[in-house]
Amino acid sequence: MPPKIDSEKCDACGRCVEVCSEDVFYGSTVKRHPVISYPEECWHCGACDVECPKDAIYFYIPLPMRAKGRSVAETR
Amino acid sequence: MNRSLQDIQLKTDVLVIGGGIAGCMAAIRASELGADVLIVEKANTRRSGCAATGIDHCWSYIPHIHGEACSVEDIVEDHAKNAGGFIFKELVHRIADNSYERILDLERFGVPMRDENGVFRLVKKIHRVPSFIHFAGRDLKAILTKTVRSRGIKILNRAMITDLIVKEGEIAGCVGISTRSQELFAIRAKSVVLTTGSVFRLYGNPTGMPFNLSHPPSETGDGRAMALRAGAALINMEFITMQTGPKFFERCGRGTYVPGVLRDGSGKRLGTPAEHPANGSDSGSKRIDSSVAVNARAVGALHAAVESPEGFMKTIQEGRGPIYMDCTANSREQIQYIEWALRNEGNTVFLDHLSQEGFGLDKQMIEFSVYEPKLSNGNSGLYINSSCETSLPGLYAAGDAIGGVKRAVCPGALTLGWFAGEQAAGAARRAVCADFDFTGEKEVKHRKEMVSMISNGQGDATWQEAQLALQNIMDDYGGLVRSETMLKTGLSHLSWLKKEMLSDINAANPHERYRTLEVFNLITIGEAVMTAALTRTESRLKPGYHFRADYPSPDDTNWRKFLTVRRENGHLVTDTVPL
Repeated sequence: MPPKIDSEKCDACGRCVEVCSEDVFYGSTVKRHPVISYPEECWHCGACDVECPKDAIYFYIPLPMRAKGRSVAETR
Repeated sequence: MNRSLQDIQLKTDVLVIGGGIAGCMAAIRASELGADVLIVEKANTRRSGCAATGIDHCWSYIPHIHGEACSVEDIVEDHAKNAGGFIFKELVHRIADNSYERILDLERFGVPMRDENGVFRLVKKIHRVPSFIHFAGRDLKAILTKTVRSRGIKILNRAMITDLIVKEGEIAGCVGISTRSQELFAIRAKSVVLTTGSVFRLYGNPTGMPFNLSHPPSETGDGRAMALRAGAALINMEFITMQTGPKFFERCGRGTYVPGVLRDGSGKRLGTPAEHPANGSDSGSKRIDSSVAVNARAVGALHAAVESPEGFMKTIQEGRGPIYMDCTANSREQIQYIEWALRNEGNTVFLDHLSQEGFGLDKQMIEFSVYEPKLSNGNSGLYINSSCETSLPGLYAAGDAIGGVKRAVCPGALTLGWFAGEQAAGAARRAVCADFDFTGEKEVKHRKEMVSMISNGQGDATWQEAQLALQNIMDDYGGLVRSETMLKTGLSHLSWLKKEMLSDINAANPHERYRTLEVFNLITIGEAVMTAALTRTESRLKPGYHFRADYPSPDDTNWRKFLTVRRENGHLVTDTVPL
């Protein structure tokens, strides 16, 4: 769901705010660390991550979204 | 929110609404032909639409590769078969015929369409020959945006167009609103191209999380809704489509898991297996040259999910679930190919998630499922003629916004986007452009009134509640099981919801305001869906899913025809169009 920003790495360039496809960073101020105003509207497109020059963004995946895998050995 | 709206008046020759692949191509072509062009985009064209953070596949008819094995007409036949005949052959012919030219354009713009040896990676999916080009399309939108800007085309980002302005039966411009500020845009245009994409968030999400989608949540069919309100016709609205992909994590529902095998809960194989384009001794891609096009060893399917959504549902209903995507029999090289493809399709978050959960495509099978219904895949949308013009003169459309071109997808957006831009530039040259004061236009007045109502309301309702209410209505009354009594009730409930929203919604800021307007558009589209579903008194699986419990069988005698929906005197009416 929401992108998370590592404030140590973030230099407030604002690129994530500029490109977000769902404007989850709405309300962020130029030259300040971005605010994630609408985390539940994150589409996980990763645009913020792709555009971030400091690799400061990572994603929290909420529980209902987590993928499920199963080792092959269990079914054979 | 009590600050008043600020009027901004803009003027252009060709207005492009929606800055995705189709919109950017339309703008580039119109500009090439001398038109002054403005793209208006709800997000930011650099990372918006289906190709936001990438697209890894685009089919094309490549004459020097496919020429000996099949013709353009053969490709069109494959589409016709896939859509059960519900296809506009002329449009699909134009797509196939021009696809390679547009691929070359992308290369000129800087998109790497070939591998390091200058060869196309081709896989077989819906056509009789391997026609899907796999490419490193992660930055396609960024590259298109750069190209657009270099041609002097203006882009207005973070603005949602809400209404088309029609004067004397022709398009004259539009009204829009900023998604971030109090600006209201009134744009005078000589012609308009609608490239607003598909419709998502119309039905409930199985995970309960509305933005957990395989396609952009911001595609709420704004183009269809505004065109319907302006008097243009939509087509195939009764047909919904579903997709399959990783269960729970829908964002990754568009991706290449090749080769992969689908298995049921006991490990038994489902559907038909796919083969891998990386078979063979070379480095992870397979060459198709004209002499081996048909016999190529490296034929593969894009989705290993070559089991239909209906097949998935049947497996679950019969108690044989869960369903798994099994890539564990792949070589290291093949797994790397899959990961490369997924990254270029924009699914990096999913790949990172898998590794965080300790899953590897080489070691674990991933649970797959059917996703919620949507209106996409080129099936339902704006009704256009062979010149990409809608039933409203001066209004053109392309990309996922149009209907009757099932599986047009990326090449459709490239070719028809280009062509719509060309047509719109021609129309703009011919247009008699009289200036007028927008503030007096009824569409502007109406929009301002409505925005005021939802922004300064006395109620406590949120747009999120309205969205859920809408999805509940669509699921129950207009979803997978339909009938006359339920559809009629559903239409009445949608009408109720609109009234409730107008009196009770209170959008606290421009962001919530545009989300509210999106839900209104979804309701308009829902009404068109239900109206069309009510009219088509039969059931059909191709071109899309339409099941009437009161008419459970196909009725080819009466219903092998298209259905259009448009507004007339405030009501929705349907017409038929021959196949």
